[in-house]
Amino acid sequence: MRLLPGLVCVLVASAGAALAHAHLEKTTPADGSVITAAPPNLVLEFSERAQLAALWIAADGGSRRKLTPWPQQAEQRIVVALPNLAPGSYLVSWRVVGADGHVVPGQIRFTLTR
Amino acid sequence: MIDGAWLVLRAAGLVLSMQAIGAALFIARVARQLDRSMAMVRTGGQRAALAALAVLAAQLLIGPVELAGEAAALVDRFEVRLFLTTSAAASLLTRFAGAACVVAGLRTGARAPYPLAVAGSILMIGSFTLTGHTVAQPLRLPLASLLLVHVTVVGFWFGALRPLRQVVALECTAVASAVLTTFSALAVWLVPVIALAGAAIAVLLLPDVGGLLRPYGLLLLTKIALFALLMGLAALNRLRLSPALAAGSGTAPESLRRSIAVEWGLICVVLAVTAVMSGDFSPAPAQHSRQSAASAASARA
Repeated sequence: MRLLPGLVCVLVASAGAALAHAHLEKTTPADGSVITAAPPNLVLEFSERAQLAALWIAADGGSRRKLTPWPQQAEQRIVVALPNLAPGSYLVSWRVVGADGHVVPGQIRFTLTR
Repeated sequence: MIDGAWLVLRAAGLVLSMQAIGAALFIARVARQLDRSMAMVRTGGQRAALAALAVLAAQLLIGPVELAGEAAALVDRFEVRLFLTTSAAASLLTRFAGAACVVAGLRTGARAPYPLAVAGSILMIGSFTLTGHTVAQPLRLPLASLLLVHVTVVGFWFGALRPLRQVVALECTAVASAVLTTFSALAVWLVPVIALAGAAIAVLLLPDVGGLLRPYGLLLLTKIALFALLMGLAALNRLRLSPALAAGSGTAPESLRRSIAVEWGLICVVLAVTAVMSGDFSPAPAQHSRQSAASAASARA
């Protein structure tokens, strides 16, 4: 029983500096934007480092497909190469996990005209 | 669908973990006072810990699916590996180990004060500081300390209620009254600590008073309202029903058991609200929360 206070102390002491709650601050292309040139990359900028767990793109009316590869570690600015896109509307959706262990989904739409 | 199933598992895992934590602490505290109810109380604690183990195992299994948002992640090595590196997985694994210690510590033949079960419950309590909103804050150490206190007292209170019902049902009046007196003497000092620690955590987590009007704050206010209701029930038990039981009132045991059952049910609701609040909403402004991100996204879709 004398070990128990020590166990509590170890658990408390193991709590070190951590990242804050990650939330989306900016994307490129921007949500709802109409662009005239196909973007080479998708850029997701978060308030803090976030680890991408899933990323998909879907053309309007089409089925979604995974976008890969993506960074294998948590980053504040996540850059993922986009495939060659034909003119049309697109939905990009993702799921990231932050230091707090919570999964945060998100999505944006943009339209490519040419 | 996946997020809904995950939320149900989170809530069930929280309720069962708290039950196991509290049962182990309660049994360790009052074991020497118990007579006829001892075997049933200990078995009840063990079953709660076993049920917690099952739900925690399910959470660990489905974690990668929740992470990736698709069932295929169940067999996706990258997603499984990624999930195992998250703070959520670290917390679940620690809680799983703690629940296993509670099961082993309450086995037949184990002796009071059941050190392995108590160590297991402390491990389970500590697991809550490894993930969640308190992790992602600059003031992590004070927040973790407050959370430890909060979870310990809530766990003890909640986990003691079912064994208390068994004690009231099975023990003679003298033993039941003595156990209720022991519990009440502790609860009088401990239960206000729940409110104090919870309020301190809220002050540190919420960015401003306006945060109380956002979803996280509104759920927090719901918890406070339910807590006030619980205080009323606890006062009824302590001031009316427990003395009636000690005085040998014929209806007191049944009334007390019913009141304890309602108290237990209300705390289950509080824990379910906590699972939603801590899992799906952020104390930060609304646009940062998972729910609002999802709803904003679907509104745009």
